[in-house]
Amino acid sequence: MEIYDIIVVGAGHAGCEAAVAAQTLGAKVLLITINMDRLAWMSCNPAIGGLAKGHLVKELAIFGGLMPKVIDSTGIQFRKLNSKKGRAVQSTRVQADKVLYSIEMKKEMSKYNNIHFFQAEVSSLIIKSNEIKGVNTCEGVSFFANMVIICPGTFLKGRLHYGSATVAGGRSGEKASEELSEFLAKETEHNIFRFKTGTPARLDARSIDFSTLLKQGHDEQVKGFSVEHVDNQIKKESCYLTRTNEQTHKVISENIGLSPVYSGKIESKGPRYCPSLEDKVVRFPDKLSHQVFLEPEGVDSVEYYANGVSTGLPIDIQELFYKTIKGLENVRIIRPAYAVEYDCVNPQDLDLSLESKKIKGLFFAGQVNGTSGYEEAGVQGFVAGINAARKIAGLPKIIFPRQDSYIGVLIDDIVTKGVDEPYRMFTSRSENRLYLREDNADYRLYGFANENKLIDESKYNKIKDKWESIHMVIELLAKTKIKPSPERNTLLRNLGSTELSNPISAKDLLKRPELNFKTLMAFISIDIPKEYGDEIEIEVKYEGYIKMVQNKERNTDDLESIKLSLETSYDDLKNLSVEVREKLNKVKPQTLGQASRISGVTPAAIDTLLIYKKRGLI
Amino acid sequence: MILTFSDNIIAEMTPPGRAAISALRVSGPNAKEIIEELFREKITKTRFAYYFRSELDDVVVLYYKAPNSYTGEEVCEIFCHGNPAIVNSIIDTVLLNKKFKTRIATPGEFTKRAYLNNKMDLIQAEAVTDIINSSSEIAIKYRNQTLKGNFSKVLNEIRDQLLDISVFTELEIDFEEEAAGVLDKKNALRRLEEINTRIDGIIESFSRIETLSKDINVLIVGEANVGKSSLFNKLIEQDRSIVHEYPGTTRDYIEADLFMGGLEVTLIDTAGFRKETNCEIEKMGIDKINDLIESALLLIEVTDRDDYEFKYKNSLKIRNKIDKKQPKNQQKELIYTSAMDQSTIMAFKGQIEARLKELFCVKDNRAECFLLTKRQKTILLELKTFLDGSIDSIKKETEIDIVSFMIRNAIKTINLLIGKESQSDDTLDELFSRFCIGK
Repeated sequence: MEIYDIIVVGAGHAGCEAAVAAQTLGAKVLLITINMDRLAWMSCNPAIGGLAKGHLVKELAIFGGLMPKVIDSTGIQFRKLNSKKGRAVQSTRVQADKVLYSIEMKKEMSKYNNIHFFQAEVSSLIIKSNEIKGVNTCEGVSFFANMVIICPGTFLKGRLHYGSATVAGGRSGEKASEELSEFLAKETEHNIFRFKTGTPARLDARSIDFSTLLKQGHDEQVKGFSVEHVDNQIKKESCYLTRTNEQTHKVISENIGLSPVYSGKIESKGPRYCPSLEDKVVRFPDKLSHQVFLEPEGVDSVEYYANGVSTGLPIDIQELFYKTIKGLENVRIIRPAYAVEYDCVNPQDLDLSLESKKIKGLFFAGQVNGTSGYEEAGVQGFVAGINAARKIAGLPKIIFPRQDSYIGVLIDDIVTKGVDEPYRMFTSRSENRLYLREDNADYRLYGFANENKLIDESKYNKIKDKWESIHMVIELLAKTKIKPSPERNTLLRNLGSTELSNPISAKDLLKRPELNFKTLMAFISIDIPKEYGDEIEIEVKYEGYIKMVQNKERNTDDLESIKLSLETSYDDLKNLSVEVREKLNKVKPQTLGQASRISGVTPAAIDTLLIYKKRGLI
Repeated sequence: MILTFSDNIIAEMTPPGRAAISALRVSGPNAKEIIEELFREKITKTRFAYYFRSELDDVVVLYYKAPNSYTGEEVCEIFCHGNPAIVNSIIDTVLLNKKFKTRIATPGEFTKRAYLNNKMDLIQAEAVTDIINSSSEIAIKYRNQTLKGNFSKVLNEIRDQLLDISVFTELEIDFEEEAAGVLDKKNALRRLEEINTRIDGIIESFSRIETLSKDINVLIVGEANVGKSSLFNKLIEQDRSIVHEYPGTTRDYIEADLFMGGLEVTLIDTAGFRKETNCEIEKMGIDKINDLIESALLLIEVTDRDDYEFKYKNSLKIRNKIDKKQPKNQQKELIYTSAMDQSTIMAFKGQIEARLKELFCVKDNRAECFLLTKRQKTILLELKTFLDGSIDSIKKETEIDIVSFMIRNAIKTINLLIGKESQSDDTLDELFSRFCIGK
């Protein structure tokens, strides 16, 4: 039997990125999946990106992740969200043809000779003196490797609930992984807990009356996530908007006792930002109507995803309430909605590279770490993949700073604070939101990617050239003085801006909210390269705000640079409260900055740690 | 930083010198054993007043078991007779104990330990440290107000209000498609402006009250021989100034410390103004007085004539010697006095106290007078830049990400002041509990 460098368990969004990232760094990878026909399958909504999630995908694109490339080539509707709310919080979202997406992913993965596939269900791990050695499968075959990355999504002891009926499964139509989490709970020190989430019904397009619904179309202007151009000739589709009404809510209220959550059958915690319709009705009785987005699942599919109305109610009740919704009066359900419960490992058992602190060489990535979303899973797979490969090569681990990327925010958040509901990325999770934009993802990360050899030379040069010319133009604008004149002041007045009384640099003029790069050109006589007008405008406008806090952030930066060892025991530090000591022992922070973000670790405790550190006691 | 917490520290809690009672505090892991050995007694109960007799003194001892003590460590407090010899011999005996090493506490070290052991937040700790240097009643009163957490309370209130606004900005940013709600700009603007005014008030009260850490000079000025020194003597109830009928008797100045309206005030009697003088010493005296006038908090300008033109706009204006030179008509802004008539002196004193209180904004009993440290003031000013920024960005209809940036940084700045950890989850928790989010 062949010995691999890395075994990846699970071929969802995390597993695929993990395998690709690891093989790029030279590792020989075995990807084991329960079902080879479901690579990077979209179990829930048929879309990639969205608020804050789009940022993650843009970041992944810099490092050559597959998710951005594959969605760009299989997307059926491109949109920019928050387009009127400031560039920092604008996000790209692409509706996917979920079947094409999976096929395309498989095609891409198959290009790499160093990724081998095997269809099986992993039942247990081979561990010798707290080091991972390989995996055993239910099918009776074992595989050996130096590192193992576990990416099972919602499959660990997955249970699908349709009212009082329960079906074992990782998702609709697929079997669950029954033995692995049992093994983890019994044979390792990992803390296993259960989360709950849900998915709405897929409805038959032929039974929907779209004519009365609000249509949301594709936006030609919106580019995808990739740095390179990606060809996409697929027919574009629309989404449709409808709403629940009092009649819908009445059906829910009358049958609330049949919901597995409200009957007490499900006790695990679900996400607050993604509540089932029964949750919405119970928790917000004053709201008489909720939005429903009908999203196509693919160009050749008649299935529509009913976004906003997930439920754990029995199927006959589902049919009853779906039919109260405008446009769905005669609807036929193809795949009913269900609530799903599954096992997770506590991400606080991991370090910032997503390696287990309990077993060397064992990594976890994706939904099993208590997150939710394809994008969140994808970037974790990538982080685990590169770090596993680097560990084999004897290289130090790569930690993504949270000041520079949402990837860093995500990993730091879950590892440091743990999760008490499925973790989804929000832009508000970043302290540095004005800097962590989609438009400058390449600028933020290309240097970091290059230092860590995670970007090829041509891409690096392309990004470098782009930003050099952007900054050259900004410098030019700073040097270009605009003198007041009657014509210019008339122009300014017409643009709703204040007149000039003194000369001003073109850069300062561009900072005015009512002006943009295009309107600025009317004030400048010299020739300015116009290729990156958008980027230039954003850079100039945000610069002042970012600088406003930059000096103050330095203090935080310092804390980030003070390293703490994973080996430190906090038991003897008697000046820290028992609670703080317990929390530090649990998380084992890798920097003082990370320690400061553990909830309950006070600034006073950080001062004390600093004192210990300076005295060489830790 | 010399904090090794394994050691015990001791210090006097009361000011040095003779007094009825002096108090000492021992804090550290062995505080109980140290005191038990010192008095050869056993301590079993916490927060219980033990009465111990010994060759040193008869004392009362209180034991506080960790973590329920001022510092969060093991603490003993000893109350002995207020004699420096007794106090010193107790301290010396403790320091000589070889088994349990103890050292004299550095200034503020009890408080520092209390802070590091999470017994108080940063604001409370800073106020305790400041209290050592403040002498006057008002200063202590205001510092106590900060200490008891009033200032923290106000800041927490403001923080909650900002959090409430940020819920809407975040709702608008992160949950666009849920359309659960948007920022009501008019309402937000009004609330931000209210918060801003409140912060302005606190900063302003600080600037006024800052003087409490310096000397409060009340200066008596006026022409020569109008009876300034007589009034001075009456106010301090002593004969300190030489009173003489010749003009210019008081050539330099004389000062006395006294309590007025709860404030420790330095009252200064000055040489009178005279048109010309040939006396060099008197000329030098007058130069000095001009400096004093600059730094004085309050001027009392005295005259004995009806046709006198008062020189200082904000001075307390006194028409003196009404027994000898009867005023022609009563003017509302003048205070009429005679050193011979005690009732006019009492009224005069009342006027000075009222004016002093006014200067320290005590008049309307506003709750928001706080003594701030320099650090707190700097942070409040920083907070203001973000509040101004948020108001400005809403007015100019800048995009919501900028508005949110300002408000979030304002919250972060307040957290710095309260010593609270910043958590983006605070906003999200609030948001999820109040709005129906999720597709």
